[in-house]
Amino acid sequence: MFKVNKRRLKPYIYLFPVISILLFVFTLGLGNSIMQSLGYRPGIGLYEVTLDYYREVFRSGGFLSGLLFSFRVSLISSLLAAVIGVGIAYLLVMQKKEWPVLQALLKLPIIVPHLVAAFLIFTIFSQSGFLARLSVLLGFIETSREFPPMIFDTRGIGVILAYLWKGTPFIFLIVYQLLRTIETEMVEAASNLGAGGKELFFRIFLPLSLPGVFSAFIILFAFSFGSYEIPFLLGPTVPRALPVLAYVEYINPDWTNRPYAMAINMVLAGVSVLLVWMYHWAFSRYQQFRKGH
Amino acid sequence: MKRGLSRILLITLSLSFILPMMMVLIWSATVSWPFPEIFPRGFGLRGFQEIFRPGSPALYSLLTSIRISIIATLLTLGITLPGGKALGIYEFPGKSFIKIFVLAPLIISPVAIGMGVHGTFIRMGLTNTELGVVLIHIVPGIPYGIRIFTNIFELVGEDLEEQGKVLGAGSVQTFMHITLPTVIPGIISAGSMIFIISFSQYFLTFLIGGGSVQTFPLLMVPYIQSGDRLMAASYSVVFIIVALMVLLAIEKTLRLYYRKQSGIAGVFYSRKKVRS
Amino acid sequence: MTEVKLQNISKIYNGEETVKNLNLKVNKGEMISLLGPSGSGKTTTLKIIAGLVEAEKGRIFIDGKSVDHVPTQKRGAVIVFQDHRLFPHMTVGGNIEFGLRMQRVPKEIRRKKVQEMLKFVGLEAHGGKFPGEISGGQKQRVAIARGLIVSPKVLLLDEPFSSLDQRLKEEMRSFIVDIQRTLKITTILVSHDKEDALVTSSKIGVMFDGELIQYGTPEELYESPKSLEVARFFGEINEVPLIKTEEDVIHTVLGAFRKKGTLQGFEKGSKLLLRPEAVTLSKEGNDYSSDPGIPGKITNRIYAGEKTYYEVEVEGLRIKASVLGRGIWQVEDSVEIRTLEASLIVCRGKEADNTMGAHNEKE
Repeated sequence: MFKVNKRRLKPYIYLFPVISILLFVFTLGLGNSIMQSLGYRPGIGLYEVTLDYYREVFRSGGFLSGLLFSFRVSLISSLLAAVIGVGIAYLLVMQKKEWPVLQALLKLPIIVPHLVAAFLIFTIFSQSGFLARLSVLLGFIETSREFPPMIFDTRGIGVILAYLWKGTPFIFLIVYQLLRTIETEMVEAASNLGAGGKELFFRIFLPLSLPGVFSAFIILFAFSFGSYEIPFLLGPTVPRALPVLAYVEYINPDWTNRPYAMAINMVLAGVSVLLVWMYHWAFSRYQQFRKGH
Repeated sequence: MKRGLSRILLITLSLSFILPMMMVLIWSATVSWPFPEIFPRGFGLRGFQEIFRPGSPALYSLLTSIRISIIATLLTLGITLPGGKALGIYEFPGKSFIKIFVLAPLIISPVAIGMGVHGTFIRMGLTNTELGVVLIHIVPGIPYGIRIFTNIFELVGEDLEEQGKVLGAGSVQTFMHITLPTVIPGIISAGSMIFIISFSQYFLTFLIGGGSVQTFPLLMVPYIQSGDRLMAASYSVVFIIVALMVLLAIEKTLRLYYRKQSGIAGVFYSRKKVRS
Repeated sequence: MTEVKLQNISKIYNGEETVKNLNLKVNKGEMISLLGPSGSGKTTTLKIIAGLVEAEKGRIFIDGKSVDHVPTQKRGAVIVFQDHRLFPHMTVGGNIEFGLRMQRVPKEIRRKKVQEMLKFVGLEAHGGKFPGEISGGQKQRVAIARGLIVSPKVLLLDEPFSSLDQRLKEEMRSFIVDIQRTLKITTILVSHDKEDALVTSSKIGVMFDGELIQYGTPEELYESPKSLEVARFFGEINEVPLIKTEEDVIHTVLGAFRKKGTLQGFEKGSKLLLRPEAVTLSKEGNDYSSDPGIPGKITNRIYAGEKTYYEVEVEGLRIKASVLGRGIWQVEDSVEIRTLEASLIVCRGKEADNTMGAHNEKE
């Protein structure tokens, strides 16, 4: 009887280390943040629970414009990455050969860190970057100041470009692997039934890869929405991306400022939880979809 | 769409992602390249000389980085392999919830996670230590490890392990001789992914390490910020080459292990002999 | 040589009893089969013996000693699985060597034994190949060799022939019989194919829905099955339609029979069964037999080479018959049916099968 119990416990024993680390990080970490964001800080003698910090954060212009900036930049970069990634994958699948060198080169950006991606965008798109030099050579402009600012600019073009450069190969990889398994069986069946290039793309490739693209899109979006490096290096000071704003508030020497940072973090996490839910929704849809075949 | 046109489109699109990397390579090997010139004024290796000169902080931080990331990778593999096995093979109450929960680090901002645990890490004396940095580096790798191992174990199942036990292998033996070799491809891909994530980490390292733990990305950022393109480019190139080398080493070591597991009989009867 | 005994074994999977109160004894050096349709609990039984699955109830004895708390790797009960389960990352030699390595047998001895085993199973030339490079039949041999090399106390074969084509199947059956006779390993074979069991085993146990319905020699099972299910498992059979039963005579559509000999056990609720080959067909009006024939009409004829199968309509009921070779009757022909009285099988109705366990204990 003892043995039977042990067998039932096996999966939980296997999962114990991972789950305990995650629980440690998420309950202690996020729990701490929630308490601080509500102004409950027994360490420095503050016991009153209040929503004032959230209220103030939401009222402040820096936060709202930051939220909007982060949201816009993440949405645009992830959408473009999805479209271009799917496009490249589709084009490659349609070729007769596999083009292994091209494939390997396309995967390279995945191992390049975001810091380097930011630097790379900088060398090309800054006012003294390669494009500016090219414009001088071609006589479009004479000084670097005339080149339209794309780095540190309020529209966040540089940030979008950096995320796009990192995100597209990621989408490509996922979609290409998916499409390659579909290709032979489905395409033969579909072409046999008279589907041409356009129909093949819209009726076979797109529907079959869409669920995978969607979950990859969510991952990209969540990543660009919550990460610090790229907006820190390429983004403007006004508006500040939310993660950068949170950190600025966090390192403010005035300790009473901490709750603002935590409130911003809670918004960051809140949007992410919403994304988890969407991801789950998409994934279960995907499963249903798969079962349907 | 015509084949020729689609090929041109494919190449143009791909090149727009591949060519920018050339910029970094060129910058790393210039002597000087002032605006608005389109070609560098000369080529040299000053950046690399600076990084690799004896006693340079860059070299030291590179070793720190490799050490931290390898330990973090091993630990992450060590906890996600059994976790992925549980999710890939067994049915148990709470499974679907756990499957989503383990993906959380992929979705929830590292900024929120980092600042959240910062206080606790301070109280536990983990800030400003390599151990603290290693521990926090485990978190973002977990979803990748779990995902890859879950998929592998769903495919492999428990059949071979059962067979091993029946033939007299104990738990440790089963793990070393059967489980591990059968999931080697998963360990390679998960290990590479986790290593890259840790090796590239900037924010979490600098928040938890507090400046006392100087990893390679930490040294690189000031050059990017200050616009020292020559140094930033050299750091980037070194970073990418070292990352590729470590990935290659990981793969080679594991393949070697895999070969060793093929049994001494495999050495007696070399494959060439069989063919002749 | 080892004796294996299972006592009141029960296993519940997801609330369903997959093995029900199973009792089984396998004598030293004997080879037996567990026969039954898929999902009847045969493989689970094997896994219970090997210790891969824990039974909820009951005990297992190997050589009279309880092994309920002996872990799988120390039981010495080796399963050879249907899907071979060869380790893909090891060579053929490496696979065979595995068990010895686990026992930390010195390298030199291992090497020698692997060589011998490769020779024994006829795979000398394939030791350095990987499982992906050999054929299905060869994989089967490797799986068996890998099990044999550890000199198991009990060899458990799980559907060993089901993935092979007919020719290989026959070859492997005699291969296993040879090995078993040479090495005298106590062996339990699990199959859904009656031929596997009949060809290889000295005793057969038939399982349905987790229950061991009957356990005995092939002859016993074929000639006196305990139920219609068991009888059907060993081939086509007629359930002889009864008309009425008197004190010592049973009246059936195929004639009246005295309750003597095999029919002595006939009681209320019993069924009377007849194999198609025990039905003889003859020309109408043929009177070489004193026994009066029952008139019937051929409604179907299937020629199957060594045998021809007929369906004969007798008083609105269909009776199956078979004759060796090419039967001379065609559809629509009128014939007379005669029954070999000694071939009639009496079996109990479905409900009265629970005395099985006790029956086994007697043996």
